[in-house]
Amino acid sequence: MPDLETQDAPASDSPLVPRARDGDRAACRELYRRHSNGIFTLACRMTGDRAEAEDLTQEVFIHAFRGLCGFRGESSFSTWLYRIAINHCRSRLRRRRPGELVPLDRADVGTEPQRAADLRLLLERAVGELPEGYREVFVLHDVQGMGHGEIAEILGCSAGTVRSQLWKARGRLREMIGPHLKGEGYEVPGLGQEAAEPAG
Amino acid sequence: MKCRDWDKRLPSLLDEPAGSPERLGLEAHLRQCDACRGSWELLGRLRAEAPRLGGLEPGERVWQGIEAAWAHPVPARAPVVRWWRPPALSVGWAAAAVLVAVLAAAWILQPRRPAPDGEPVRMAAVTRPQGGTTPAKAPAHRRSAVPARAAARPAPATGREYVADHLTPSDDAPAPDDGTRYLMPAVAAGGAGNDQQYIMPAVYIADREPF
Repeated sequence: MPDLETQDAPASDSPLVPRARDGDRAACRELYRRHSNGIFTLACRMTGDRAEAEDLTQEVFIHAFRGLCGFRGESSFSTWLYRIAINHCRSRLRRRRPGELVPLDRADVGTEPQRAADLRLLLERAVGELPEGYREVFVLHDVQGMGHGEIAEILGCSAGTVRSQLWKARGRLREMIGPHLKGEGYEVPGLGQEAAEPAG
Repeated sequence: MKCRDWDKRLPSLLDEPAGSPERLGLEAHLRQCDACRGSWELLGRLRAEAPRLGGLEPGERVWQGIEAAWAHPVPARAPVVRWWRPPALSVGWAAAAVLVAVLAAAWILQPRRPAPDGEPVRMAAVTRPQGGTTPAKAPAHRRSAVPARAAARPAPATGREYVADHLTPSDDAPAPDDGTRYLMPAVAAGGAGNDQQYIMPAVYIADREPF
């Protein structure tokens, strides 16, 4: 299992931000190149729709570049940008009517052979069905590889809350996906099993 | 620890380092329990698969849209003039509001005198007999039975000026023996016809001028 939190730290955005604030398009383009995949992935996993995620990504960057004057540097540019993205996603999801979620397996996101993509498709669908709060934390931590502290800063909550949400999200995913993989030996222990099972 | 307890902890133990005591305890349990081992392996697979959900790339049209927005900057918004603007909440305003609230609460919650029991008190003038018992000699337990409201009642208009010396006569301020007129509640003065019996007057008014 890869350790996501020990990946190489990306180059700092600090030199680019003042240039982008002064209207340097090359600096803006570089900031976009560094963060667009992450923002788009977040938007895609939150909305479940690729076209909508592209619109959201565009809105987020336009909003960020226009609002750079208001960026005081109290957090990193990346944290600030993700906070904008989360707010846009939440706003978009609020405007949706209930039941309007487009599952990813029906969108045009993956066209890989079925056998190899089975678990991924199941996971994509299950992530799309997670409650919004669990989904945000799961995507930011397990998919994007962010740390608990950074996620807490983005979401405006404590690191303990992030951990708790993450564990619940994983537990919920296991409950949703486990029954589909019963033939492969993955079983979630039921409540009635403990009497017959050894205590650790 | 039972399977149910391990099951609840499995999602959190994914983040524990491999050699930690919690992970060692879990591994000992997993050697004996197939169900928990299956659940743990599923969580591990999901954890390993999750990063593959990332790395999606937006189409080129996203950047084109951003550049197009750059070419057409949003005009600055004119300041909105409101016909009413709420006053800025300063420390002074807050302190004044607190002071007003405290004064209002003190006024509302101030203790009130109880209303008199029974019928309304009527004042009656009783002439004190010469050489009789003075009101100061009345038993103390009867003094206390006088309604307080009666003490505040003004003297009846008789064309004379009455001066209240004491609300309750006492031994320290004995009542004069001659021509003194006492006002007392008619209700309290149960034996109105018996001039030998003195009931505690509510108001002891000395007429400075003799009758």
